[in-house]
Amino acid sequence: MRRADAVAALVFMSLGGAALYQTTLFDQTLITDNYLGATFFPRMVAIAMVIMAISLLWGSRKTLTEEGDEKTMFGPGILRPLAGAVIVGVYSWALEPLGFIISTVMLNVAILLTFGVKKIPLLLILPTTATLIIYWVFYKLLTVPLPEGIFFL
Amino acid sequence: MIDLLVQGLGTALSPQVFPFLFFGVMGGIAIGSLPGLTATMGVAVLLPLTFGMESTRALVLLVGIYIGAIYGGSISAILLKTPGTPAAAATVLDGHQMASRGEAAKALSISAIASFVGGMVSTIMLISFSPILAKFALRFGAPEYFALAVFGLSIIASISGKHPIKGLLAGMFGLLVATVGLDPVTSYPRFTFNQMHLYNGFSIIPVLIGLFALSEAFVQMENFRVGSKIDTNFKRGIVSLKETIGLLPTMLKSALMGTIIGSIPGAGADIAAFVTYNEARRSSKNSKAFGTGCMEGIAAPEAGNNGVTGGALVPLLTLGVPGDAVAAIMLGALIIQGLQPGPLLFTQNADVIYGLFASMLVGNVLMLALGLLGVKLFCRVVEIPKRVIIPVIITLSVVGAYSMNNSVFDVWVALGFGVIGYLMQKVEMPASPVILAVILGPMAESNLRRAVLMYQGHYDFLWSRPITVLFLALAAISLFSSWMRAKKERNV
Repeated sequence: MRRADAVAALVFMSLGGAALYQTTLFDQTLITDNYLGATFFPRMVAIAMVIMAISLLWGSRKTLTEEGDEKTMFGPGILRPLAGAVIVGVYSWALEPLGFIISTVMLNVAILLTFGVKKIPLLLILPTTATLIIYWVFYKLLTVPLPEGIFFL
Repeated sequence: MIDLLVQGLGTALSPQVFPFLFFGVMGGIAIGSLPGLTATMGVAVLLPLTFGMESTRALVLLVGIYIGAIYGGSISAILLKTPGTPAAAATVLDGHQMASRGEAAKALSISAIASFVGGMVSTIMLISFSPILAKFALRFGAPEYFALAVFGLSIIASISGKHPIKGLLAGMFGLLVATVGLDPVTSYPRFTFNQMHLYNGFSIIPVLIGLFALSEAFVQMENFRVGSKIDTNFKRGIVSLKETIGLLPTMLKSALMGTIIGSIPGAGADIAAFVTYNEARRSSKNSKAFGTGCMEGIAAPEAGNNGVTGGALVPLLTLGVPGDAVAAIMLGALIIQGLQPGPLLFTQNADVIYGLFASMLVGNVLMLALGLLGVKLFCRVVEIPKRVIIPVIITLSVVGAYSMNNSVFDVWVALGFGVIGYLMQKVEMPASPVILAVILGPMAESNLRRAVLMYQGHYDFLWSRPITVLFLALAAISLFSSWMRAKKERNV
């Protein structure tokens, strides 16, 4: 786990460093507030982030030498959340062209498949029912606009 | 005043008005419990339905939704670790821990009772002390807002558990996320990389949904075993009378704080929930138990966020200044109904206003009744097999993220923060500080800069204004006590 801390520290250090660099590119010429300006707050936050990341890295370095065992960060089921993230990504991309109903049924089927559901009736009934209920609640009952897509569904 | 209130009670309980209140509260609970649908959205969505209604019915319906939705957010926060509204983000910390160890019914009942206490206290304060509260709220300038935000942010140290440095890093990440978009004072675009979508910054709802709902769904997917369900033991039942009495001081204090925070324009239920949680933890003898599933950790934010419901109406009704986003929509509703907010409202339209006050009292009783009666039903959600509930959570998360601005970009934001939240869980980094910082960061920055502008580059406001000094002192005490506690824990 300490190795994970070290990786996290390096990620935050890079993020803080990148943010700090970005603030040097702020070119505020049109409207200025004369005192703290648009740069002050993000710069302070970025500096604090880098300092804390260094502190975390230092701490992880100390404990890394003290603790021999490393806990595994990802379990054997890591492929499922990875697949989940990809499915949601594809869904976000397909939502507007395909419309809410078709894309949401497909999203639910895909996630059920990642859980190893193979029974066809379950794969048909569950996603369709869940999608139609959510559609009815949001679109019909609460009049929340949802993408219609090219099929107007 | 008592006569008018009794008359108002008659109106609230009349067959012409009561059904509107009942459906408002019930609908509000349902809306609040759906991730992504906030109280503001619920009230906004139903506003057009009230255009043709009689004034009292219209206001009662909207107020019912407001009260119900603020409470409803805690249901999904406790059961699914997915706050229905940003105001319920603080409730996740202890609520879901309790649910995970089989005390979902107890957690839900505490939430209902605390929300009831918060709502009742704030309504009584609204009825009795509106002018005084309005005067107090008017004393809040930029320095006070800045100090309030700092006090709220000081909670980061105390909600970071065994790894305060990781909590602080998460908080810094949240503050950085909050700076994306147009600068609040000069409108200079920061970290936007010429992307139009980033000009308004990240909306809080997709960030919240990603960090809490999607990340949790990903973790559950990873740990999934066939036939697995969340371990539940609902036989432990709801909170006992003795426990409720024990929680009463926390609830009352949080309710009062929530009312005061609600009466300050711009400080809403989400801020109140975190501030009251922090204060409850700071002053509790049982502070170590916070974050591990302690009852006070639910009672404080729930009483605090429902305390806002009455508080937010104080400046609205007395001055015509809305206390939060819902109050702003209520202002629109009042004007549509031909009512002009301000001191004259209490004399010229006393029947409508006292009908509204009485309806708020009745609405809170209804919320308590529906909340307690619904505990068993709500708990059934946790018993649904994971492979059924997870796709539903993901779908609700995506729809919730999309529906805020009807934007697919927000769905991408939710997904991005979902992955970030998942990775944060892997390195044992808490997600709550990110949300807290995203909510309070803009308030802290813009008010600090306004205060410095007001004082022409000087920082006298930090020690010359009593309310500012009070909040900054409380923040310092909070940070110091968290540091001492962490030190003690390390030494044990």
